[in-house]
Amino acid sequence: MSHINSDLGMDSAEYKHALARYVWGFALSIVLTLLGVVLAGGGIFSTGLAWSIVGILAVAQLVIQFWAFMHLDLSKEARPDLYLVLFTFLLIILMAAGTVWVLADLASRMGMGGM
Amino acid sequence: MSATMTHEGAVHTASHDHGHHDKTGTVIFGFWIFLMSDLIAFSLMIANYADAEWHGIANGPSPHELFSLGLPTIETMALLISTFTFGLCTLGMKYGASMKRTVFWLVVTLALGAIFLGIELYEFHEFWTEGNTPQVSGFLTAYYSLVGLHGLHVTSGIIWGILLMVQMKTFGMNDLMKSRLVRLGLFWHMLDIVWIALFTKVYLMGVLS
Repeated sequence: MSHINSDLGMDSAEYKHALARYVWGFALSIVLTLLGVVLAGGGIFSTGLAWSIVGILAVAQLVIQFWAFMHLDLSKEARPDLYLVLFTFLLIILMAAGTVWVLADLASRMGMGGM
Repeated sequence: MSATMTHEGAVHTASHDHGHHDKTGTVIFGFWIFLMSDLIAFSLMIANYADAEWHGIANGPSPHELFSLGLPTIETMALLISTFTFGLCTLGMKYGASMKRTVFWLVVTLALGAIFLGIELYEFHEFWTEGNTPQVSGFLTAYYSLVGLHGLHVTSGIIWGILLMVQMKTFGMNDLMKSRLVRLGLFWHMLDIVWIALFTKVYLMGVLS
């Protein structure tokens, strides 16, 4: 199947199947977003616990949107994209977490507050 | 290509699709590489923000004092709906939707992007007139640059979309236009994925801090 053209029309089962993926992604994203807002605003859990859950919800929504909207999955077609994304996240974890670590260490040595 | 699309022969179209897939697929994969490098840039801006928010409050407000969730939530919903409507646009296009339908969903998407941008600029203006300018603290510098960088991306996406509509009207819905629309779609979906991270880190976790 090509990226930009299908031989089938909008009344085909394939179209409806593909559309369902978008609808699921959209519905789940809305639920996860609103859950995050309620947790951040509501004071249901302790601040630390709410912070962690909100973070997990964000990661879940990130995975869902890559799957639903950017067609990332375990299929052979999406494999090169998947490897690229996974390698990118490896770089992000190393570089972003490393940056926060070094700057926080520096701040604590400068007496600007603990790590 | 459009002539081949009407052929019923599965073997013929399959082989044709394969050859076509390779060319368009390569261009789209190249665009993925750009998107991922952009994602790394965003992630480092977030890392910078995380540090500034932690150690760079100075005499300015903390995130907890500055942010409320009302407007950012509406803003988030606008962008979330827009990423879905862009999906409707590109998915329909792939399955032979009329240009009218494709343009309609693209216009809806860009309008939602403009609403998102309007709310963001309104918030910037509010903070600014309260005296919370980027000069006040490292946290505010990082806030304006991180959220502003995302806003610039949305702005360029809107301009890109408008230019693409002009091209589509001029050249018709050919394969090149379709490939460009798919790439703009990936760009737009990526921006919403980046916004999940920004909304969570800046606003949700900011209010919780």
